[in-house]
Amino acid sequence: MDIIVCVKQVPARQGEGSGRESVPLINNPNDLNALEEALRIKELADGSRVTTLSMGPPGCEGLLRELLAAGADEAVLLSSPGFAGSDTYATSKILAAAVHKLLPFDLILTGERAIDGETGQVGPGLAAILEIPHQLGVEQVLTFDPHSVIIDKVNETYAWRIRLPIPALLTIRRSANTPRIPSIRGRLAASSKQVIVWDQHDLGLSGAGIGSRESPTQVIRTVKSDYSYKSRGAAVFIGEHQLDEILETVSAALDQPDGRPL
Amino acid sequence: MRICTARCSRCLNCVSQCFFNAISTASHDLVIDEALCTDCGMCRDSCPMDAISDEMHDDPVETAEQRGICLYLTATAGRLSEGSLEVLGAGLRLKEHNRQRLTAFLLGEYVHEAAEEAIRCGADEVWMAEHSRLTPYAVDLHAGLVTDWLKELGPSIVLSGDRSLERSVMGYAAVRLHTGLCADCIQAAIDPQHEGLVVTRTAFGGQLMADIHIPRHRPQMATLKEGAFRPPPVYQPSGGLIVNRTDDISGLNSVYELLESRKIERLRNDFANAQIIVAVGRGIGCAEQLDSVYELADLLDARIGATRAVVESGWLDVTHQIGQSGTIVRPQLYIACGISGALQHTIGMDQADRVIAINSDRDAPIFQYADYGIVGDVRQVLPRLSERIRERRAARSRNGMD
Ligand SMILES: Cc1cc2nc3c(=O)[nH]c(=O)nc-3n(C[C@H](O)[C@H](O)[C@H](O)COP(=O)(O)OP(=O)(O)OC[C@H]3O[C@@H](n4cnc5c(N)ncnc54)[C@H](O)[C@@H]3O)c2cc1C
Ligand code: SF4
Ligand code: SF4
Repeated sequence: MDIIVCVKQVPARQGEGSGRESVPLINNPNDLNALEEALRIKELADGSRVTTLSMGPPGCEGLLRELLAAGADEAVLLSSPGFAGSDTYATSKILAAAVHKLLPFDLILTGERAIDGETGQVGPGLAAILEIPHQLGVEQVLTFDPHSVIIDKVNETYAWRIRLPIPALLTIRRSANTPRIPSIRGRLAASSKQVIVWDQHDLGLSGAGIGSRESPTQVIRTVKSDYSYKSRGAAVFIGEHQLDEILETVSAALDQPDGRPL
Repeated sequence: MRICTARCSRCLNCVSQCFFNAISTASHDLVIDEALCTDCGMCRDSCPMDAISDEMHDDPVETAEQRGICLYLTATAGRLSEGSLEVLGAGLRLKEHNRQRLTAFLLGEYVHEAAEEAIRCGADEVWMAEHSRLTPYAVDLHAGLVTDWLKELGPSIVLSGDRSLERSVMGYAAVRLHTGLCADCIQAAIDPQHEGLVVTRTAFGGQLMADIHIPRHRPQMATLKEGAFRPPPVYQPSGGLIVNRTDDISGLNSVYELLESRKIERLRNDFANAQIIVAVGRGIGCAEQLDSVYELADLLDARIGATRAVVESGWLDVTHQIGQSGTIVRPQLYIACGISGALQHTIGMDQADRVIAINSDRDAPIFQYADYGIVGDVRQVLPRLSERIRERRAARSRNGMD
């Protein structure tokens, strides 16, 4: 099996600073579940190859080494000033260009969502561009043959076991597995592996439809976090001895059908 | 002939079609060599992405006037799903502003009652496909059909919920239609200044709220975060009609083959019908202290919510999480216990009718979102509150007996 795993680098501490530069990056934890799933398959299928694919700022090669140390055979970083600010559509397009360069492959695995509040829409978008099947919310890849895989997946109300043809794209749930910690041997092996960096030129992208300017979605304005879209004014402070007062007012406002006022 | 590289999926159909070897694949973005091209049009007709045309500009902007609001709805157990009701509510409110036609798409194994429900709620038209092959895991059938219908209908706005199938379908359709998709929106409005839809979602790890629009592409697509929008206020039959398009799937088969199926517990807590929610933050201190929360919740017949900090500490499971990456709730009363009030949390509870916040820190941001604030140790205040409620009830029932 040739497996491509998409791993995003995200700010380590969420909710601090707004510029990405200041906060150190980590590999998106949920994407490591996707890598783990790929490594598990590799152990079962001789001759498998696992390639990680990331789009991010230069300088995160160190993080990609972690992926190599965990057992990935190759790590590719897509980095170019022209990629900055790409939205879902543009990101899918850039990743697709890289996948075309990595052909052939059997599976693309990725996490469900990035912790930096991203959209979880890159997976379906990438699959649409590549014209391959996709399934979200995969718990496990059970078995595989040269033409198909059997997966367990869940949605909000069902758990399904499904067979689908490959190549295909699957998003792996956080609960799917526990990502391995790179071993000393893995780290040693990783030091002889290369992180491959491709820019816009290498991918043969003209710039059409990528980057912040060409992305279909555009940010009009951002508002700081004290923003409240139903501003109710600050609270009236009540001492503990005034609990009755709150209960009285709140009771009157509640329509308790079972007639159980506070 | 020109290839619009922003649209091309690099399927290479065109290359094999070109009799004159005019299409170069040397770089990722295909180029047609004007010197070799005879304008025969074979490549254009073979392109699934509509990427090839004889126009000279390389601009993906839709020039044709697109009009109307389209809602991609789903049904659970024959009824419109909760999320879809909210999408309908949001669509109706947009319609109040731009007076455009509201068309709903409904596809599934059993959807005709939901289609009638959508009409009763005010949809002008429902396009329906009802077939045993349209299972919720047949993502390809749903996505393909929705994409074809969108091409045919040509709406300017497309909205849906944010569940697994909807995310698959919208993600696929947006790429196929070469347009933008805003996910997890918590607000949607028509903004005349910005040409149509403007949505709000969190950005940059959730520390900021961003207003986003799709200026040059149509349709403008968005998935709405469940819980963030109100269902249609009143049932307002519009005399709309249901168009049965089931025939459109004839001959189509899903590549997904079901081997086993099992119903599971909801991944989301049932907050939708909760009148009162008692929500806990890290201020509660430890899992053992949750007893006082359970006690109050039992008394009030309330559901228990939590911040992400509490979920990450393992004190409550993720179905309890309220906020940006959890559920958005809108109860009549929200009691926030030891919650600091980070934006990622308050997004999920800001629309509660009434909020009581208990926090030991008078400057905690949660008090900005509360009607009543109690500054104190939540571990002492909660038992006091429960006790007081019990006393009041006891007194009332004594009076009642007199
Ligand atoms: C991408 C992203 C998504 C996120 N999504 C969510 C989400 O969906 N939901 C969510 O909740 N969070 C989310 N967060 C996390 C959010 O930023 C906050 O970290 C979290 O809400 C804080 O939880 P808390 O209020 O329980 O904890 P803290 O911020 O630690 O606050 C604890 C509060 O308790 C008070 N306190 C302490 N002791 C006592 C006491 N004895 N009595 C009374 N008060 C006391 C303190 O004064 C403090 O205000 C997200 C973050 C990111 C980056
Ligand atoms: S128009 Fe005809 S000759 Fe020109 S590139 Fe297309 S297929 Fe080749
Ligand atoms: S047929 Fe269309 S999508 Fe396929 S490679 Fe040619 S231009 Fe691109």
